[in-house]
Formats: sequence, C-alpha cells, structure tokens
Amino acid sequence: MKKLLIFIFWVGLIILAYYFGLFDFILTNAGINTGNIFIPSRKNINSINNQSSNFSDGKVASKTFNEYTENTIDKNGFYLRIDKIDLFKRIIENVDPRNKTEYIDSWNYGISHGKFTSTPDKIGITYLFSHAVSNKAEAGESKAWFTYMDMVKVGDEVIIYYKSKKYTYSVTEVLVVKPTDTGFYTGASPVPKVRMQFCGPPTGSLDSRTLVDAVLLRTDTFNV
Amino acid sequence: MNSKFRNFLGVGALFVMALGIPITIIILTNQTFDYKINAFLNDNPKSVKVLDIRGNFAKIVWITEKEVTGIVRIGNSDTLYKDKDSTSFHVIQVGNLTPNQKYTFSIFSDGNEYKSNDYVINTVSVAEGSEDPFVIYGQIFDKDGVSLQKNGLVLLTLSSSGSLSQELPATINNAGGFTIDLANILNSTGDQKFNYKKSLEISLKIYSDVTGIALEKKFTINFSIQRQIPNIYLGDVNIDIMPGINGD
Repeated sequence: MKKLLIFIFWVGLIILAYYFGLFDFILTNAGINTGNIFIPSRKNINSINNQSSNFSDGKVASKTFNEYTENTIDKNGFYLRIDKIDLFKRIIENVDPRNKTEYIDSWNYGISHGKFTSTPDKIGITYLFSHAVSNKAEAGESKAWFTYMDMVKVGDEVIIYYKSKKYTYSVTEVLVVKPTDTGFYTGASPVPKVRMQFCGPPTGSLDSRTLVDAVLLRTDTFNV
Repeated sequence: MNSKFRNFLGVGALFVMALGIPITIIILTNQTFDYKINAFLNDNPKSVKVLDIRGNFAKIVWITEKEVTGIVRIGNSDTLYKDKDSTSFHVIQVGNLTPNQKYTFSIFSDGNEYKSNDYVINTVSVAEGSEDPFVIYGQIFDKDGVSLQKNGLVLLTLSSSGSLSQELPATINNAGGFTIDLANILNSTGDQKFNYKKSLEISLKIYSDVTGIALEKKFTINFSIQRQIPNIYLGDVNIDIMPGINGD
C-alpha cells in the first residue's frame, strides 16, 4: 500500500510539472526543441538522411505544365502552382541534389524538393529545383518544368499546397549565382521562404543558376 | 529512520537534482529566468491600437500578459476575427468594412469581453489599391546580439522628405523573423498613397515583452534594391561582418 502511495505521489508530481510547462521550458531553453524552425544541423541531416524521396509510386507526370487543379490534387500532397506561367505540378519531397540519377529520375514525376531543406510548414528555406531548356517547344517532352520560370518577376504570386495547407508566397528577389554557390542551398532564413532554382541565364545554360525567392504571405487551411 | 523512508528521501533528492541541475545551467547560461505560470497572468488587453487602416480593412493590435487566443468582434455582429494561435502579441485583421465609416469593436481575451470608448475604427476614403504584394522582412536578436528574439511585435513607419506613412504591424516569429507587406500603404493621414520605392528612413518600434514598452530603431534603406531590413539588435551590439585582416 505504501509503495502504491509513493508511486502515486511521484506520478502526480511529474504530471504537475508537465501541466505547468516545466518540461517544455527546459527543452526549449536548452535548445533541444526548436519548434517550427528548420535549422540545418547534424541532427537534422542524420534524421533526414534516412528518409527517402517518394516518387516511385507510379504517378508519372503528364507532359503538360498545368497538370492539376485545386479539385484534382491529393489534399495531403505537395504541389507547386504559379498561375503567371500556367504551372501546377506535383513536388517530390527529399530529392538528393548530390545524386544525379535520383534527381533526374524525380523529374519524371514532378518538381524536386531539395533534401535537407525546410518544408512550407517551418521557418526556413524550402528549396525546389527542376530542369529548364532553351527551346521552350521541347519543355514538356524534356520534363523541364522550370523552363518558363524566367518569366516570373518580383511581386508575382507563388502557391504551395502541403499537407492540407495552402501557402501563398510573394516573389521578393531573383538572383543569378554560380553553380558552385552551395551556400544558397544550405542557408537559413528568419521567415518561411521558398527558393526555386533553374539553370541559366540564358535559360537552360549550365554556366549559372537562377534563384527565385518568395516569402510567405499567408497560410490557409485547404480542404478539397 | 527506517530504510523505506530513507529510500523515499533519496528518490526525492534525485528528482529535485534532475530538475534543478538543468534549470540552474539554463539560468547561468542565459543569465535570466523567465519562467511564468500562465494561470497567474492577466488577460487584460494592453497597448490596444488600430493600425494599417484602409477603406475595407484594419488591423487591431494589442498585448496580453497571458498567452490567449484573442478575438475581435465588430459592433454587435456575429462575425468574429481570431488569432491563429495562442499568443501574448495579437495582430488581427478585420475585413468587410466600408470606406469612410466609424466602427466600434470589442476584444475577447480568455473568454472575457473587453470594451472601451477608444475601441473605434474610422476607415479611410481612399479606394483599395491593386498593387502586387511588396514584402519586406527582417530578423531581431536579443540584447546579447546572438539569441533570437522569439516573440513580440514590430510596428513599422516609413518617412521621406517630411512625409510619414501609416504604421504597419507584424508579429515576430520564434526565429526572430517578421514580414510586412508594403503594397498600397498610405500616408499617416490616410488620404493618399505613400511612395516607398525609393531611399527612405524606416522606424521600427519593437515590443519584445509584455510590459508594453517599445524600443525604437531607425535605418535608412532603399527597398527597390533590398527587401531584407538589416539585422536588429535589442542591445547595444556593434557587429561588423568585415572586421579586416588584422581584426581591427
């Protein structure tokens, strides 16, 4: 009976500590619980490294850029929509940019989301990349989904659907960088941001990379 | 003293140490102890302001000691505007307003309704603009210059050649970041548009805690060249990213 009372006493004490948020306080202040901030770190890399990209599920992308509508997407899926260039494609999560076979294969299914980068539900940079070609007539055949991205300008609207939420962004910057400037891939951001990368200028050229940055304006719950 | 009681005391001492040691380390590391029990805090709305007033919408801003989901009701209507999350720093946009009208509103905080003669919105007569969003953003660091300011409010005002803009509010996220859309911003009297696409001075009032006391920071910036405001430090921190080869 005494053992039971002692057990109840300690369990009660732990519940009270939990109720008053003591554990959350310790975890947050000790830097263990980073909440909704995506911080590129060894801990994240180790956990994400074990996740594989999910594109071998048979849903091969059609050759059209405007493949989906809000009514035809999976509400728990991951999609990019830019009305200005008539783009509405699926996004393949966790594609490793160091693995050429993997990322080229991912374009058969949609646009690549960079492995080890943030997702729209977190504060950080959600990095998307895809192929672009100089001959726009071949874009669909080549699965070069970012071919028309050179028409996107500052102030344009970008929408991402991710796990039942609709994220609306506004383009804030367009940067031209060298292919070796990998800091743009691994960088952090104080606000939720999507960074879309394609080859060029000129579009399709392998000599440089263009980064289109858009900052999150609003988040809405999305139900089909 | 029997052995069972000694065991009891021993386990208790271990428990106290298990909680006490990390808390002590945190206090020594951060040199602060900011632990609050939410149940004992006040839910009264403080520093209530009506900002970013347009023809069809406005933003109601206030601070509460207690973290609550704030709600605004316009007049006696059934339409309620809510915070997305429980917070001490509230920015709620109310819409569907008519230009050149006076509206009263009340604030619901933790189930209590608060009213005041000052809770009034006077919408402006300028028609809503059609500019594309023009988003600027920044990051705020705590007094030590390193830690992120994990919550709070920012109120931004632009000025150029003696002309002053409206005050625009934004909440600070837990990475110290904030975003503000400058599209269609009006001047301080709300009767015409404010031109922000040139070199101008920005003033930021930062509410970093629930006391309602703001710290003001000023910068000169040209948003047609850069969208990110220079990092803001709540303390007197001088950080130079190019200190020179010899460190001088």
